[in-house]
Amino acid sequence: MLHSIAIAILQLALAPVYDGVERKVRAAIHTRIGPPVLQTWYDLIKLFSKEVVIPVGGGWYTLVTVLEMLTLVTASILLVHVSTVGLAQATIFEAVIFIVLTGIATTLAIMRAVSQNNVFSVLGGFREFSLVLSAEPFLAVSLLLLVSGVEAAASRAIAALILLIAAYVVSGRVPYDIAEAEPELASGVNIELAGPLLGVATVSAVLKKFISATLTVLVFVLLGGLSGLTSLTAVALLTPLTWITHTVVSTLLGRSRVDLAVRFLYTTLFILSSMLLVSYGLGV
Amino acid sequence: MKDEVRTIVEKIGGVVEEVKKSEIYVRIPQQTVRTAARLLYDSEAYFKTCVGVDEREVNGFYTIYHIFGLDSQGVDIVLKVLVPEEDPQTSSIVSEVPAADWCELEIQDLLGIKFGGRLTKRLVLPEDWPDGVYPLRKEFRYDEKPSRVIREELHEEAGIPVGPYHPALHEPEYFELYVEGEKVVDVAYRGFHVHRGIEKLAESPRFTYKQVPFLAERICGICGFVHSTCYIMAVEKAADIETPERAEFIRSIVLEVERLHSHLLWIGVAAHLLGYDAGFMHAWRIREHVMVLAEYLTGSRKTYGINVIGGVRKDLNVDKIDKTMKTIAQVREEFKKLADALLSIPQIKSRAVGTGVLTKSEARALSVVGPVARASGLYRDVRKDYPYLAYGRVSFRVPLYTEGDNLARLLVRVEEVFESIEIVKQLVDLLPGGSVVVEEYDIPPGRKAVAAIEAPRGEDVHFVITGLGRPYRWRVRAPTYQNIPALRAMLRGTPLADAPLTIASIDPCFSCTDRVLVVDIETGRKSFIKLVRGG
Amino acid sequence: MSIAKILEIALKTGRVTRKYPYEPPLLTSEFRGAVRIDPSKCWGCGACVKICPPNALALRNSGKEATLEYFVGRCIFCGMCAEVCPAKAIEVTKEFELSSTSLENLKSRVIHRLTRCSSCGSLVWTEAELKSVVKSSPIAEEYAVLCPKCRKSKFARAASIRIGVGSE
Repeated sequence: MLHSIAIAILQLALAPVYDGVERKVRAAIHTRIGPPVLQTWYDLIKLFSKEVVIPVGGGWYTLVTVLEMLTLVTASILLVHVSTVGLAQATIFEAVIFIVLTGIATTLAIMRAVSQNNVFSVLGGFREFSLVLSAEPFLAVSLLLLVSGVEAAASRAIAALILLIAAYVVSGRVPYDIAEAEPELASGVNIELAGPLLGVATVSAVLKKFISATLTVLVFVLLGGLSGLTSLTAVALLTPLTWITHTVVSTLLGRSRVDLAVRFLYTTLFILSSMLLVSYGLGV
Repeated sequence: MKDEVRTIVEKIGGVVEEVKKSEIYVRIPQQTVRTAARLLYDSEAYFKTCVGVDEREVNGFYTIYHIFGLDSQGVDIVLKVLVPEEDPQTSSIVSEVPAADWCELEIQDLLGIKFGGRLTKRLVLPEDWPDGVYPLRKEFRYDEKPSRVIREELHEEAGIPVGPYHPALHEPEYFELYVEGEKVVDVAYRGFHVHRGIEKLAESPRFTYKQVPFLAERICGICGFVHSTCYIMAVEKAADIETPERAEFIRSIVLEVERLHSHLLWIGVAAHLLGYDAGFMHAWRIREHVMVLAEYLTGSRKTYGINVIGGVRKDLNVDKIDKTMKTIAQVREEFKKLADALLSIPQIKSRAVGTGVLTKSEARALSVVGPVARASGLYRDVRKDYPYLAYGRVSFRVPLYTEGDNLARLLVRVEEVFESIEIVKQLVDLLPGGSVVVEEYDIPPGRKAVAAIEAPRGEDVHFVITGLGRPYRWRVRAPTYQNIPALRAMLRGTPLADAPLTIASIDPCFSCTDRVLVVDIETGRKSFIKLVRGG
Repeated sequence: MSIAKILEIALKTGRVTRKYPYEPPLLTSEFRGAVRIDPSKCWGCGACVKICPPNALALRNSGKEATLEYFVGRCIFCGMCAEVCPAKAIEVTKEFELSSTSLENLKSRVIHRLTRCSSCGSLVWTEAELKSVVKSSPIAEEYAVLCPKCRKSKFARAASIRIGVGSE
């Protein structure tokens, strides 16, 4: 466990760098120079060095924002720990904990958004809620199924596909960045944040991307049958690669609308889950 | 006067005061102005704007000019209504011509003429402006600063505020959206935050005919050349100044270059609003070629500053022509690829189709202009209807769509980029020789003229009455002024997420619109507030 | 996949933004920046002040000196002043990096000494203008230092003496 934490710390320190790479890659597609790779780190250092601004809602609001980040940190560490042994060796218990942690994090995020006396924030919160409802339950089901060690190829493939889609949604990238949607909601859920608190929310956002990328890699590692040290190495190498893939995908798309996003995700994931159910029942 | 025009003019009655090549001034008694307006509006005339002028020094009256454009004949019919000084009120034509709503309110604010038979409110002047002080009356000095009046806020703000500062709006403007869930059910608009009183300034001793083009060019940071050209065209028309043909060609070329930059800018912004930032960056990258070209042709990337009365200050040479041809060829090739990529993005299609719909009848009632009109099935383009400068010499297509949604407006602009490129090509091929400016001219006072130009956002109208050394009255009606009232129809029923795109889809230019108000929210709308709080 | 076309376009285009100010800005040969007034050529006639649309140029008279002040903060870079200058003293430069922490740095001045009429002592105008007038239309030194009014009366007197009328 101790060396898992050491690896986790290293990975977490690298997450903002991956984010910097994301910005660089996006800039390249835009034919821009883009910011330095360490820019996200610079941003965080600057935000945390600013004066503390507490929005309406006071201590409670601050607490929720910080708790959200801490929950995501825990979830990330758990995920890194799992990657040292491989998803196949992970226990149902670990999977359940992970699902509960991400669930708590999203609940906190929504609570934070809707507790504000600001329509943009409230609307953002409701958008987040609709989006989460149409992705996270499917993520949970497919993850549990994969961890439970099901051997049937079709079931595994379908569950993996669901997880890949749901993991992308969790990352909060275009087309599913609708809770923030800069030109529509003027940062939506984050509108009331400034200074160190915005720093905390930025860390949460980076961690969501990290969790999304790591989860995606873990699925491939599992399907590839890797475990132990090979799994760890594969995760370390593939996480930035997945991150970049996610970046490229998001750069090629436009932002969805909450009704369209929910309809698309729910229909797709529901059909896939039904197929999963049938294939699992048939044992193929 | 053509027979068709004569029939209409005879039908509306009144005294024909002046007949010019493309303008007919008809004096109408106050009592029949409404019937006359109805008749004109029913006989395919669009409403351009109305202008209030303090002509007491000239004829002892305040004068209102209602400018109607008979697009099919290329003639403006101007109804002139005299309003007595001692009893400054007249009848409103809004019930017949909905498009006259704003300009009547503006006259009421700035000239103090009451319009009977309509709802009135402040539109242009700020809330703290004192009552009974009318800035466009001649006794009001241009640099006078009346003392502020502190009033109680008349309404509480509710609904979803979009503006005055909002990432989707690049200028200070305020929309209040009332929503049910995520669907917009009503809109309140409040503008004119950046009214700068330039019409007053231009008639002040501070300015001369020669300096006003530079002021006019600063009305808009995007289509400024349109405004300076339009002002100059009005003055040249009023004073019968013959501009050399070469200058007219150069102005037309620069106007199309400006349209290219404006449309590319808008397409980039639309992509950004739809979350497709790659489209934004690439549209602006292509636009950069146009900006560099503009600088090379005129000396400045924007606010070109080459327009003077009688012609232009910068001639074209072989190098410039060569650079123009190379640039437009490159823009054409690169934009073709980008437009294909842009229109294939699934989110752009799904969010632009069927949102922000403006029906043809609504568009007609409000006399909307430019790409907004053409996307709602109205075939109107000043370049075709009233061929000015060198536009009569080139052939081009006017894109027309009937859907009236955001996608239609996007497609109109995309196609217009290609048409502009074709126009520039033809203009360069046909460019005549000779000088580019006439130095000697005389501008007699008391002459009137209406000039219109198809700006990137639609028809821009300037009305000038000449004075001594400077305009006696100069009225600017920017295209957005005509299009904002249509937003209410467009936004109703649109998903909130698409509201910024819909607002942007008229390519609003608020600073142009605001050369000079405040909207009170009717109490009836407050019932929606709860829905917002609940959702 | 037409949505992936943008990748191809980006790859072909490469990087277009520049590391300005570490790379030179893109200016064309026609660019109009701030203007520069050559004090050795300026007469102080004020033609530029009259044409300047935003009042960036001002001419002030303190009684002893006349000061032509150019305030770049108001300048719209139209170059009309250079066009009307009879002395060709104004040059349109390509300077555009004009920001400064001090307002004074945005102003430049040309100071002219004023001449008074040697006869009645009233203000003629700047020495430089007088010199240029003398240069372009040679007149006798004794006339040059007079104000137009005194010059007229002196000329009338001289002429009348010459043709022999009006003498007492």
